[in-house]
Parts: sequence; structure tokens; C-alpha cells
Amino acid sequence: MTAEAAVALALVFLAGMSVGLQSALLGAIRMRRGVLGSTRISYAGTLAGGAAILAVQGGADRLHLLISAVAVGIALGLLIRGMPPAVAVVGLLGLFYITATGNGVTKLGVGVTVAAVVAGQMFASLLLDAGGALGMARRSMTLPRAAGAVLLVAGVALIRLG
Amino acid sequence: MSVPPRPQGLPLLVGFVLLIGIASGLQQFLLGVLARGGGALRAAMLSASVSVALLAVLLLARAARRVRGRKLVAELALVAVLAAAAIGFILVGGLGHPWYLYAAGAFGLMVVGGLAYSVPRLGTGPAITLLVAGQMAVSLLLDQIGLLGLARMPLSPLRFLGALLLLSGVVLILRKEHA
Repeated sequence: MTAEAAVALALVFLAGMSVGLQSALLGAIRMRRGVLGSTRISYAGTLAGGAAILAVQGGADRLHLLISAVAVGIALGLLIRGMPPAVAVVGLLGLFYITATGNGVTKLGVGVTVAAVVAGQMFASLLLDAGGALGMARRSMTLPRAAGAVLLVAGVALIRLG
Repeated sequence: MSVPPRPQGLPLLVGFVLLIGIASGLQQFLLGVLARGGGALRAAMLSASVSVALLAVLLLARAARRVRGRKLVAELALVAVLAAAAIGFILVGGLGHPWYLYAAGAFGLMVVGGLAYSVPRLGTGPAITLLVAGQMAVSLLLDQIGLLGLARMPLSPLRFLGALLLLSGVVLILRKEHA
């Protein structure tokens, strides 16, 4: 595997973990704001974050991106009033997910990318469960769950090799 | 949040979640095609912008039905800011792609909404397992065809076995334990 492909694979796996954490956070926000409300908070963070990064990188549409980042950032601040400020990162997790998968598909193909995202998501869920994070019931690691984790890694490896 | 299961609608629900999985695989594929042209971050932003433009329509429909008075003004202002940023991004830097690449954003929004609908009705384990099954089926198929300039990776017994192992891993991790 080239270094470029290895980096893309690692990023896609991390993107899967990030989307696992994102869906746990969105689940918590959904209890208070409903499906549309939580989805809006997530996408506002994605737009504001992406516009800010692209504006820093420069380019012809820099001014437009900067205005968008500030306006949507303010809207996001209003949307999450009454909730912990950390809620704002939920959209950045989504931004990382779609950016890393787009990059992954160009270097690894669709199958490996999708599989590695799934593996990352499951690992995040195992970690969140083991820690009893976000008010969820704590579930310890059991033998079947550990075997499941091994199968995920084996699955990604076989799809990559095949 | 718990919704009583409706057994009579089960086959429909199963088919629906498989379709959501296919939509998710297609979104990742289209993000890849977009990323090859203009970079992964711009591809992600274009997809998210299309999602937000569509979400704005849903938010307006909800506001028209449920929100009144001063709250309506605040709500409309918030939706307008999101929609303006999203549509602005598409118009300023995101025009000129073949029309189907914009579907990435529609698929993304479908996945978010579809999972919010089906997970409480099916349970996390069955819903995510079906989602992954749909994702893997479409992604191995897309690799096999090698559409829109992405490298072709023919379906092999090894790849098929890999997808089955991955799916078994998901089942083992998400299954309910009866303590």
C-alpha cells in the first residue's frame, strides 16, 4: 500500500469514528430539538466550519466564504442557545466525515472507504458504550463484541486485498 | 422516543433501510467523483450546501404550519441565513458539474432523515445492519463497474467474503445481550 493510500485509509477510519460520535451527540440533541432541529444544528456547523477553512485557504471566493462563515456561525450560536457550547462540534464531525470519505473514494475505491467508515463507527460505538458516555447505559466489552471488532478489521482488509 | 413496532409494515421498513444504505453508498461515491475534480473539502461543502438548501424547504414548510407571530420572523431569518450561505456557495463556486453530482447532498439528507425515522422503529441493531448491507452491496457494485472515471475494482470472492465478515462484525457488536 502506498503511503498516500495508508493515510487515506486511516483518515476514513477516523471519519467513521467521528460519525459514530456525531450520531450519539445528534441523538442527545434530537431529544430536545427534534429531527429537523438537530439536523439543522449539525449542517449549520458543517457549513460554517467548511466555509471558514476554505476562506483561510484563500481563493477567488474568499470574501463570500468569510461572510458565510460568520453569518452561519452566528446562526449556529443562536440555534444552540441553552445547550452546552460543545454541541457546536457536531457539524464539524460531519464535515470531517464527508471530506475524508470523498478523499478516500478517490484513493481506495468505494468499497474499502465504506467498509472502513463502518468499522470506525463500530469502534466508536464500542468505546462510547465501554465509557458509558453521553448518559447511555454502560456496556462492558464482551467476547462476542471483541470478536465482532476483529471481524470488522478482517473485513476491511479482505476488501482492500481482493 | 420509543415507537411501538408495527409488524405489518416490517417488509416495507426493511426495504426502506436497505434503500437508505444504497443512498449512503451513492453519496460517498459521488463525493469521491466531486473530490477528484476540485478537492475533497470543496466536494464536501457542495454536498452539504445542497443538503441545506433542501433542508431549508422542509424547515419553511414546518414553520408555515407550526410557528406564528414574532417567533416566525426569527425562524424565517435563521432559515434565510442558512439557505443564503448554502445557495451562495453553490452559485459562486459550485456550478458547472453534471446534474447528478448534486444528488450527493440529497442522498446525505435522505440518510439523516431515514435513519431518524427507522432506528426507533426497527431498533439500532437491525437498522444499522440493514444499512451496512445496502451500503456494502452498492459500493462493491460501483467498484465493479468503475463509473465516472473512478478505478475499476472487480468483485472477487475475497471482496465478497470481506463484506460478509464486516457485516457479521456489525451483528456481533450491535446484538442485544440478555444478561
